[in-house]
Amino acid sequence: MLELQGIRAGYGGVEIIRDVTLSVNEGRVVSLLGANGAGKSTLLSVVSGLMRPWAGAVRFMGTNITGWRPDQVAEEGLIQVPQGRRLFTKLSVMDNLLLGNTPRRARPMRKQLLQKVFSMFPILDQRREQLAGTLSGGQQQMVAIGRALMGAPRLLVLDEPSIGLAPSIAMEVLGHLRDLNRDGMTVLLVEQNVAQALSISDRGYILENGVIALSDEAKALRHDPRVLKAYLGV
Amino acid sequence: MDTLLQIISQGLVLGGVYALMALALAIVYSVTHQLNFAHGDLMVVGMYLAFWGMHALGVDPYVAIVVIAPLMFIAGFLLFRIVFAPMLSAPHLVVIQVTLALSFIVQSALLLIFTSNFQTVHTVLSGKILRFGPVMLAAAPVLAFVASIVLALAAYYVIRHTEFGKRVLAVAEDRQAAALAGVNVVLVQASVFAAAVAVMGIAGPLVAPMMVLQPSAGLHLTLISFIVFILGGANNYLGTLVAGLIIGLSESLSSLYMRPPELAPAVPYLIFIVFLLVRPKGVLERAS
Repeated sequence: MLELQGIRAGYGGVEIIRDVTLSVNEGRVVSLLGANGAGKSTLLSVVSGLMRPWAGAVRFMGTNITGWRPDQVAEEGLIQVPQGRRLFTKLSVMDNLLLGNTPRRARPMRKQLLQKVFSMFPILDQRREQLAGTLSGGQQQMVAIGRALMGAPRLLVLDEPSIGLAPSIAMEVLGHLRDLNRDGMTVLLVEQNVAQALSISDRGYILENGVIALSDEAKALRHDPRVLKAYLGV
Repeated sequence: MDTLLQIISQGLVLGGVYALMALALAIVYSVTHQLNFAHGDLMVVGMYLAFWGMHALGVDPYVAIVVIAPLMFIAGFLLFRIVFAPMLSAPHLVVIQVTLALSFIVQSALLLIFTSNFQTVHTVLSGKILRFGPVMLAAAPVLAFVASIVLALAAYYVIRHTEFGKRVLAVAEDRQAAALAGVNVVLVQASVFAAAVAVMGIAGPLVAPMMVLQPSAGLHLTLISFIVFILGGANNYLGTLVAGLIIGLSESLSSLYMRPPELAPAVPYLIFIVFLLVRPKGVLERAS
């Protein structure tokens, strides 16, 4: 579904991503893991169109989307939940969700999508008129995910959705992702929390200093001595 | 007493127009984070278009707005795509220089076409007087004031209550998040910029009957809009309106009472400095 081929990217003259190749197959949950500063967010910026890669190609559902604008990428159904939630804090929960419904492809499904979001996060239905900036961290993450779902994603990309959340709430968020996947959604999850991310993933890639250091099925990665030593503290 | 009332009402009229100009500037700033130093010149273009329509075609300026506003919307859209969009991520200094250059280009073009002679514009309302009790007001300024307030309220409504307005607010708060949500950020920016230019195309012909047209009048208008924009508190609608009235009033009052009269044009700037000292975040905002 998503294929990255030989991606190189960076800021100014500093290369952050060095020759990354990875793929996400339809119907799976794939994790992109790595320490702070490994280049995970930079890679996602390339995928979602916020940043143009220096070299390489991004293919989504067979189309070369390298260098497309973010709204064009979203229109194709590749939708990213940005790190730190990045809600429109001075707008209501409802307005935030409706802004996620901007892609033309998703607009005819507005009602069903809204129902889906509210059945997944009932608390948002109660707080639909509240300003998004006044919600708790966990609820803000729900709005961020809900906003992305309103765009009818074919591939949902999440950049560290558990950051800044209490462990129990982080687990709850990951559980929702698992549920979404069970209903057919393909998910690309970027996380620092390797153990939690692998627990809901089918496959994982480990990014170190801008290159893929390891990639395997999630089950295998969880028992890989290198992962155990470097990321799981065993 | 009559003169004072007269002057105050004139100040309010002026202030309404200033507020409208500053609002246009503020909304453009909120989505682009850039200031346009040719802002006032675009309004002068609106005035000269009204002048030209009247002299060359015999069309009343108020009627000409129907053509001028859409024309300036299109021009604004193209101007944004060709000149502004490519340099949005450039340092502020670059943008300031380019928009200053644009200001000079507009002024020179006006000079070439209309010469440096002072021009005046007449409308159906020229010479018409409205009486409000003891106050007699020329009809044209009252129309300009009412139209300014109506336009400002309309802009407020569009921003707060329409889907396009929500996108504008989203882009203003977080461009990247808006883009990821599927909003075409450059299109929103270009539309807002074009709308602001169109508003100048409405305000220009409305105030033209009260002004002496001159190709270099734009810079003063630009500076006044900047002052009102900052005085109002950058993105505070009501604040901008109040600030516009303050500056308009101080300008007209000082033109009557300031001694020596040569210092009158400095008064709005002095008031601006005083407000910056006591209310640095805007007239209606308390410093925290």
